[in-house]
Formats: sequence, C-alpha cells, structure tokens
Amino acid sequence: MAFEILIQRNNSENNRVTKDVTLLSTIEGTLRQETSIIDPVFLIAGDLDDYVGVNYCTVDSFGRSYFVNNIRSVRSGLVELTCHVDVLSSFAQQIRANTAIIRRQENQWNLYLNDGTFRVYQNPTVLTKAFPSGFTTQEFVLAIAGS
Amino acid sequence: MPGLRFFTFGVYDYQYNYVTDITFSVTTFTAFELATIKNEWQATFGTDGRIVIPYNTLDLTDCGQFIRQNFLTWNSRHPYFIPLPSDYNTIWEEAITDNFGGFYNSNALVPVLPTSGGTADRPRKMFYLSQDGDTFYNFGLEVWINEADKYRGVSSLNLADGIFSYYQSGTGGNNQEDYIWQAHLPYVVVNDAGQIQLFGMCIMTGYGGSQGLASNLTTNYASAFYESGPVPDGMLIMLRTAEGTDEDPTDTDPFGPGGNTGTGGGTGTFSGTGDAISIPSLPTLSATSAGFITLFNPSVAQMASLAAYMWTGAFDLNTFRKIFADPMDCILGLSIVPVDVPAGSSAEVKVGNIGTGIYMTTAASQYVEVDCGTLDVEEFWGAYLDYEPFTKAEIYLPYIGTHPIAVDDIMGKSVHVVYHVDILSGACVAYVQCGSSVLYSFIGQCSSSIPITGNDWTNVVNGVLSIAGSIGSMVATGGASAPAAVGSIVSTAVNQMKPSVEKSGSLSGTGGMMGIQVPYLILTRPRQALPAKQNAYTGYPSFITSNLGTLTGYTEVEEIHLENVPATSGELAEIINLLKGGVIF
Repeated sequence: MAFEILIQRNNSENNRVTKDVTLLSTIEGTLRQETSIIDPVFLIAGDLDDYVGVNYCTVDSFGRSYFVNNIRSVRSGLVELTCHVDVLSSFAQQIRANTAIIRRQENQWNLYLNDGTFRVYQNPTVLTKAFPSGFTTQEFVLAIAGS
Repeated sequence: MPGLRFFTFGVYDYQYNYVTDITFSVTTFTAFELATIKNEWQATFGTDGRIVIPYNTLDLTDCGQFIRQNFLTWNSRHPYFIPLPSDYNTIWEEAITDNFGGFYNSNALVPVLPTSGGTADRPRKMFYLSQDGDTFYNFGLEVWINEADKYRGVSSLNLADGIFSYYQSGTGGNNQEDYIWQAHLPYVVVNDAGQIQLFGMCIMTGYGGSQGLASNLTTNYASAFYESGPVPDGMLIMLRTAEGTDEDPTDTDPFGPGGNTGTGGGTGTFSGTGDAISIPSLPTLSATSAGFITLFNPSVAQMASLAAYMWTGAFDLNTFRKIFADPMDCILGLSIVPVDVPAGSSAEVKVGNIGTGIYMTTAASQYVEVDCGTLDVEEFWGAYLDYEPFTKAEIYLPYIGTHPIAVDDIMGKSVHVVYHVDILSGACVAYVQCGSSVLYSFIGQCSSSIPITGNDWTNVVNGVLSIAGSIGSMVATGGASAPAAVGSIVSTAVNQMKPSVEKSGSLSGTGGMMGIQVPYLILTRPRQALPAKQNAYTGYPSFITSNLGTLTGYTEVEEIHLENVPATSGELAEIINLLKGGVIF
C-alpha cells in the first residue's frame, strides 16, 4: 500500500483539538510490513538531522494525525519515527458534533457552583456595615403606684 | 391462624441419598417465599409455572439452619409464630402430655419405656396434615399407636439440634425390631386451639425392621405408612414456609433476600412560594390600662422636684393610703430608657394618693418601636465565595450583643432591624428581617434602673455583676471543624480551623447604655488569590449541557456519550479521557 506521510511540527498544546502545525516535508512510501494505525512506526530514508525538529505527522491514508514520541537513528541514512495517534486532531470534526455535560470551561461558567476552583489567602477581610439608625436618646420612666 | 403451606423439594433415602426432584405449583407461595426459594436453593421456574429445585443444591444440614434462621427472622414480622423458648423441654413435655398421653422424654435420644399405653383409636399416621389443595393446616405430631400390633411409641425431642426421635417398641405385628425415627423440627407453632405444635423439616430414617415412610408426592401431602422391606426406601423431606406476605420494600432485612423495589420520585410540586413573616405590631394592652400604675416621662427638672418632695417633712399620714408603710413604696421604679417615650397628657404625680404638686407628662404607651433601618447586603464576587462557609456574618445589636447569623440568609437581601421596647420592664426584642421574612429574633434588656432605696442599689449592683460574670465566661469557644470536601476536590478556598471568637457578651441594661447604640453587620470575607488568566488554565465551574462545537477555550467534560466517531474502542476511550482531563477548543 502506497501512502504519503506529512512530516510536521506541532506548535499547539498537545491537548488542543485543532492543531497549528507547520509542514516540514512530505514523504511517500509503501507499507512493507505489518503496521498499526494507532501506534505506527515509520522507517524513513534520510538523515537524522532532518528529523530532530519533527514532533508531528499526518497520514491521510490512515485518516489520522500522530504525535512523534520517539526519533531513532537506525543507521546512517535511516531514521525511525515512533508515533501515537492524536485522537483529538484526527477526529476533531466528529468530537465537535457531540454534546456533553461540561464540568469546567474557560468562557461559559457559573461561579455559584463550588468546586474548589478558587484559592484564598489565609488573612480574610473583616468588614462592618452599620444600619442607618439606632438608639439616639435617653429618657426617664417613672412608675408610680396608683392611677 | 394463617394456613401453613408445605412443599416438598426432594426425596432422599435414609442414607441421605437423593431419590428424585420434586416440583410443585408456583402459586402456592408468596412473592417473598418465591424469592427465598429462588435465591437460596437456585430454583428454576418452569414454563408451566412449576418450580424445580435441583437436588444437588440442597444441603440438608443447612436447610434446618436456614429455616431456623428465617423463621426467627419471619417471627419478628409474623406474631403467630414463636421461637424455640429457652424452657422448651418443659413445653415439649406439656405438649407431649397433651397430645400423647404421657409419652415423653426430654432432651435425649434415649428410649424410654412408655408410662402408659395408647388406645386403639389413635391414628396410625406419624404426621397428619389436613389438606386444602396445596395448603396444609393444623399440622400436628401424633403418637403412632398400632393397637393391633400392640406397638407403643415414645418420642423424644432434642431441641438443642432439633432432632426428634421416636422410639417404638412392642410385640406382634410385622415389626419386631426397634427403630428410631428422626425428624428435624426446628420450630414451634401455637395453633388456634392454643396447643403447641411442632413441625418442620423432617428427615426420617429407619433402620432395621421393615418400617418405612413414603409420601404421596402427587398430592403434596405427607403421610406415614408402613410398608414391608428391609429398609425404608423413601424419606420425606418437608420444608415449611412461613405464611409470609410480600416484603415491604421499605422494610428490607439486610440479611434476607430483599423485597420488591420500584421506580418513583420526581413528582414534587416544585413550588417555591412561601409566606412572608413580617415584623409584628406592638402589643395593645399595657400595664397602665389596669390603672394600678402610672408611667410618667419626667424631665430632669421634674425628677429633681420629686426627689426633693419625697424628703420633705410635710406629709399627711391621714391621707396616705394604709397599704403603704413607706411613701417610697409608691414609687415602683425609676429607670432610663433609650427611646422616645410616647407623650400622653400632663398629670399630677400622686404618691399614695397624696398630690405632690409636681406635674409630669404621662407615657401614652408601654411599648415603643425603634426602627434601625435597612441595610442592603451585596455580593462581592457574585460567586460561591460570597456564601457559607467562605464568608461569615455576625450582627451587633445594641442592648443584646453580637450574634452569628447565616450569611446565606442575608446575602443579596435587604436586612431590616426593628426593636420593640417595653419601657416598664426594659425588655426589648430585636427583629432581624432578611428580605421579606423575620429570620432572627433576639431578646435583651435596654433600661437602666436608677436605685431610689438601699435595696434598689443592691439589686442594681448585683445585676451588673451577674452580667459581668456572664461576659467573662463567654470566651473563644474553639475552632469550627473544617468543612467537608466539596465533590472530589478538597475546597482550598476555606480558612480552615479558624477559631470563632465571641465579640461581645450580654450588653444589657446599664452596660448596654454604655455600648454602641447602632446595630451593624460584621462580614468576614476571604481574600481571593486569583492568578492571571486562571480560567484559561483551569477553567471555571460550569455544569452545563453544551454542544462541544460551540465552545472555545479550555474545557473539561463531566460526562459524554461519544457517538458517530469512526475510531477504535481504544481511541474512543482515549478521547473521553482527554476530554475529561481538559482540552482546548
């Protein structure tokens, strides 16, 4: 099976659903032995220097993008890339189509829910608020027996 | 007495070897009994409504225990049955005496020669059950006497292990040998006639002789009869069930098979309406209405004039009322109150009906209202930090002191404080209205008594000393316990283990007059440590249902049912883990 590998650099957080990637090169090759599409290992003809900055790749034939977890020089002119599927990026469109109960969110939140998000300092603020009025006078009261 | 329903579930020979399974109608039993049968004996329910209990699941040694255990359990619910009493030997003897004419032996398997013989009219049957379909009644144990064979039997019951033994001896007939019938009878029933009856799981063995026991299994009742043969080739095992009813699902025995459960709930009215509790009106009936006392509201100059008069020598004893021994007794009390006394008419002060020539303004009412106004308590954050247990509130009330109040009661509401004062006794009640309802009422003492006699002076001083003593005892009462963890995240926003400290004691009377005259709230609010862009790194609490495509930024998912994602099961699990751990859209 012939397929194309896009050699890339991922500039985004690993947990970002849609990645900002930079295409470094494109390689065409053939599957010569058993290969996992979840954790593929690619043997690429090339110099190690050309791949030291690679942390991402995409194989459209597999329908997936991958994190490069390890770069190994097999021998001179042969580099091995050990990859693991980036499930978020590979299935971003389908993930976005799903509905979920959200526990925390950057922009849509309800601060009346207490989940221990906020920390406080150990020295609280003590505030006093006086009522508008109180007891303002003093008068005698004399109680006499009889009417 | 409810009918006792028996069923057979297996037939074994005298050596406890299985003979055959027994099936019987499901309709015989209550739902509780069916559950017991199914759970305890791995029974299956046939399509024809019959129950099949496989023999190999039956543990004879445990069945009696199960019966005993369950009987004792059922006994608590079914008062018709009594447990084995501690003096069962005596009861057994009485029962045997009643039923068997004196044949008895207690607590031993040792045969005892009968002290008296039976009669020809005693039935042959070892156990007799009256049958009504599948229901059996009046099960009793009767001595078997075969007059023709001149057999006489004596029975004994070892209730320590529930083994009943029957010894028969005699001459003539087909059976010459002695034999012992053994039956496990783990429980006792008092029948309608008040007789104690014994029944239960019976395992009857015979040895020697040619006597045996068989059961008429087709009609589901047991009877004993003898047939020839070297050994008894059949043995009846009967298991009694209680006359139970379906278990109350709210009264489940934790050690039992459980009861019926069902769905429910969610049918509340969801009515959030309540009733406003307003500040009450002042009392209408006062002490002055009775005419026995008059309340004056004198000025300082008028009080000085009266004091001078009371020490004057011009006093007409003839006019002075005989109920008073001392003119000073006519003055019931003099006090200072911190309120505007409602003015009545001007009247002459009469001491013991003797006019003093001093005119003072009377008090138009015994009760006075003091409105301290309303305070709006606003949220600081508009977040959970504004509420308990993070923010705390106390209220200082003049002539009462400082008391803690729940900040949840006042946050975001208008708080209104009103005093009702009794100028005669000096008692005052402070009402704290939170929103539309009075949630707090505190009582205090707001008048300062002025001593006019030596006793008055002593009482005033002692009163102040007792208040001072109570103040001294009101020290810090220790720290509040840390609040419980919120969800799976220990709340870090609580100032844990901070002690609560009394901010004042009882500020009554003279002490209150020297205290602060305006009520105020004391709010203790945490100081938030909020790093820049925390919401971008950790998100803020949400708990909404949302389509993920509408979200931007950091997101943690509480729960999701992923669908229409063409990923492997491992990938799907990884997606869910990542979403719950936090992703960025």
